[in-house]
Amino acid sequence: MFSGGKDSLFALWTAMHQGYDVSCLITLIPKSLESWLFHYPAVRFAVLQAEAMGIPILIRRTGDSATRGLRDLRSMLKKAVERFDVDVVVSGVLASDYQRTLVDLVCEELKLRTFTPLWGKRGELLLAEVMSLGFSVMIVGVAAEGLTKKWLGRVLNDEAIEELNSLASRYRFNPAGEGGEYETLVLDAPIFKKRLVVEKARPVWMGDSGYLEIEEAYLATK
Amino acid sequence: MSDSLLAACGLLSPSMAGQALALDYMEEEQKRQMTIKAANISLYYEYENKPYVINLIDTPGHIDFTGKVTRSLRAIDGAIVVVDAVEGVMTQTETVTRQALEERVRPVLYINKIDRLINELKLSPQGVQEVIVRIIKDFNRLIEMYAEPEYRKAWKVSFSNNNVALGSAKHRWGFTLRVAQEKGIKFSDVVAAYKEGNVEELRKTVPLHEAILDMVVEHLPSPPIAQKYRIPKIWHGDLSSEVGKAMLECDDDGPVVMCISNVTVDPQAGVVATGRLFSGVINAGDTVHLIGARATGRVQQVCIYMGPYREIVGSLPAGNIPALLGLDKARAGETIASIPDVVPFEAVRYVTEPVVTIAIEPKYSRDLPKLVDVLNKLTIEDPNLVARIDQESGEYLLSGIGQVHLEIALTLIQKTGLEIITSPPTVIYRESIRKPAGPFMAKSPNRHNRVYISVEPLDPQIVELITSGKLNDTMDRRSIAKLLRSYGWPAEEARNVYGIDPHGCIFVDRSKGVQYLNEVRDYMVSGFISAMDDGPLTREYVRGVKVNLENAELHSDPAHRGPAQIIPMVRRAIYAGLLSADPILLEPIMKLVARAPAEMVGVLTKILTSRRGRVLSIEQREYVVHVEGEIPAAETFDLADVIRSSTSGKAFWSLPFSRWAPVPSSLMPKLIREIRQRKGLSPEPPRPEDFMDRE
Repeated sequence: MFSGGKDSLFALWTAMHQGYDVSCLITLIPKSLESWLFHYPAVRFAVLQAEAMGIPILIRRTGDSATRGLRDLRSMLKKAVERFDVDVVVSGVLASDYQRTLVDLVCEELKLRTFTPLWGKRGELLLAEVMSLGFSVMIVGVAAEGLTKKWLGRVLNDEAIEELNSLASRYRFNPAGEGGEYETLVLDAPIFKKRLVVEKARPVWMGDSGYLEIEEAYLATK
Repeated sequence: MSDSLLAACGLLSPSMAGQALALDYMEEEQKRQMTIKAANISLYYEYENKPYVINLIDTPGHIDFTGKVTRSLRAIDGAIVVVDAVEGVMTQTETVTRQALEERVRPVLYINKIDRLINELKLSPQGVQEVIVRIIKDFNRLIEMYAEPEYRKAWKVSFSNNNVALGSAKHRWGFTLRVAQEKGIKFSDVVAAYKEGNVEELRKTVPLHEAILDMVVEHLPSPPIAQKYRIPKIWHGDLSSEVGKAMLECDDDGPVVMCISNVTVDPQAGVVATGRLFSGVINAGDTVHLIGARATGRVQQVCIYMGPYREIVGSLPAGNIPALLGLDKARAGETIASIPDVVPFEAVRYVTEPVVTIAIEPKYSRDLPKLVDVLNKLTIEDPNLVARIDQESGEYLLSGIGQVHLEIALTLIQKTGLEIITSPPTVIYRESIRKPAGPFMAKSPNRHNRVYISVEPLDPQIVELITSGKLNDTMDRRSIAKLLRSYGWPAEEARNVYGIDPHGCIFVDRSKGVQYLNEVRDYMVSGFISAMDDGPLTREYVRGVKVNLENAELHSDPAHRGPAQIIPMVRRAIYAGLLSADPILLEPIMKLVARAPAEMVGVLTKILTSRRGRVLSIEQREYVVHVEGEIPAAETFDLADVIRSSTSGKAFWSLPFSRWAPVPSSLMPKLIREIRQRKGLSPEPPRPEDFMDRE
């Protein structure tokens, strides 16, 4: 299950390094920001990321409600089983019981095993690991007290992470963004053959949350 | 006067008293010839061959320092009210006496500066007597007005009962009737002594300290007697409990219960917490509970005050005024006890609120940490000073009760060697509303939670209860409900008070059956407080608003409903409500109390009216006219100069805080823009739509 953010890419990287043979990516695009299940801001660029890694991708638009989301997830997983003979579903879920339970439920029904390599990992640690592996991560959505407009479009580096950790402890949120505090788009990773370049983007601010509206992006050679 | 008392106990040489101003030991106080801080001292005195310990707190007289008077009153059982013979009973006398009586502190009267009646006003013995009779009458009128019925008669003073003394602190003589009779002194002798320049003789025959200390020993109660009737008034716990009984009896064998009335920060010793020990024995090394701070601490040293000096005594029994070292979290008003869960003393009520602010920055940015330290120390020592960092501009803001109060704070900062730059003083405003609005829905930033909140103006009586500290967050739910029920609140709402903001707002849960609500309750309250701290119009405090939680939908997963989601959501819904509820600004109105020669009254009236003020009363008294009026604080910054120059310095006046009043609507839009620009915000305030979320 792939959103293009740091968690799903790190989970994917971990799975590949543990010998899993990744046959396809599954991406659901919610209608709006209101979705409880799937990430919104930059999911549209998952196609480019899949191309950068050379992995097939299954994409589907879905609604915002949990019922609609689950129904579409179920049909997507069925399709993946039929087409790629999938037997394990990898997801980047970290701490959200809600997301994990729902995914588990669907997978059990389809007799699929799940692999959640990031489950229970501490937020600060996850950020440090992702950085040390050479991921290039851009913040494309923020939604928490303490995170302001200036974070939109910021590419994480040591300084940004230090700032993020101190804000997280001051305003008491998960520094890895697991409660929906911020959303990311991975521009580059060790498993990318090409890198993603954001050419044109504008921040959209809505009082105490906002997202980066990416208008143009392309793949460039590394 | 205090200096004469010190002399009696051998702390100062007799000839130095009067000039030494030993209790006014801050340099700044001696320069301004007034007492700023409340100074403590314990005196040992023998009266009719019996030894007595008298704990004396010298409190400030200037109106900008009434906070300190209020705090001191909690610690003492009796008060020596000093009245200037020439000026008579003044507003300030009235304020202090009223506060004393409200705390069941018994007063005696000392009429000072009799020498001025003789030397300056050239009054005859007959004239002096008439002035004294009038002052005693005026003073007793205060007791008649403010004392509770059972003390009204018993606490009145009279010369014949020996609870009035007269004299001159400057020349250090004084007497009560009994002393005068014993020593054979009459008014005519006093007048004669001054005419003949023989004051020295007077001082030897009737030294001031004897008159005062005799009066104290004879008329002011000892702790075991006073606590029997004061505890039920100043402490609201169960009087039949172990703690209650011990305090009523002033029992050394009871648990330690102490109310902190004053905290200072000493460069060597750190935080020094001084207060009244109502029961038990406090020892160095004791571990005690700080009830308000919900913390414990270890008493490193127990001291007793001798003017500026602390003497280490190791241990003190009930009824004393110990100074404790080592309790870093102690603040004025804190209750300290050897056992947990003691009902704290009611929050001490301050008569004035800080209404004037200045911005401070260090001249050299490297001094910033030092400035933070100094401000921290100042605000620990004086809870009427409030320091705050403006989130937008990053400025350090210091608020005080009036200009004099802030000027002295600034001098104290500069005394530390710190060079600072300050802004001109500005007035503090409040935001409020004129009608109910809502419910409005807001979503959390991550869109996974919703809240529905309405707002309405809060009953002014409840606002008064909150701002005076009688209704506060430290009270348990049952007593809050009981109090609100007695003001006609429906049981459902009175029982479900979520939060109380000290600036006069309340947060009530009216929702039913909301899942997970209990787990996010604290975050909701934080959201409420954060909205009340930064009103949507100008980021000033909000006053007089009732916020109702009508409904909420919360995400089942705790990861999605953390504080960073709930706090901004609640604030957003409250902002939408406040901005839709006919929002207004409130400004502080000051009371001008002036004494001036009759021909100056017209000038004062003109000054007041041209500054949006008005005259409330004009009263002719003996030599001067007393004028009372009201004037918005915003119009007072040049008042000192204007009054001085237009009355040739003949008017004496004070300017205490009176009330909050709506800013005239014609001035409001401009004022809002000005405040916002000063704070580095966009000039136009937000619209309600900016905080409304669609379904």
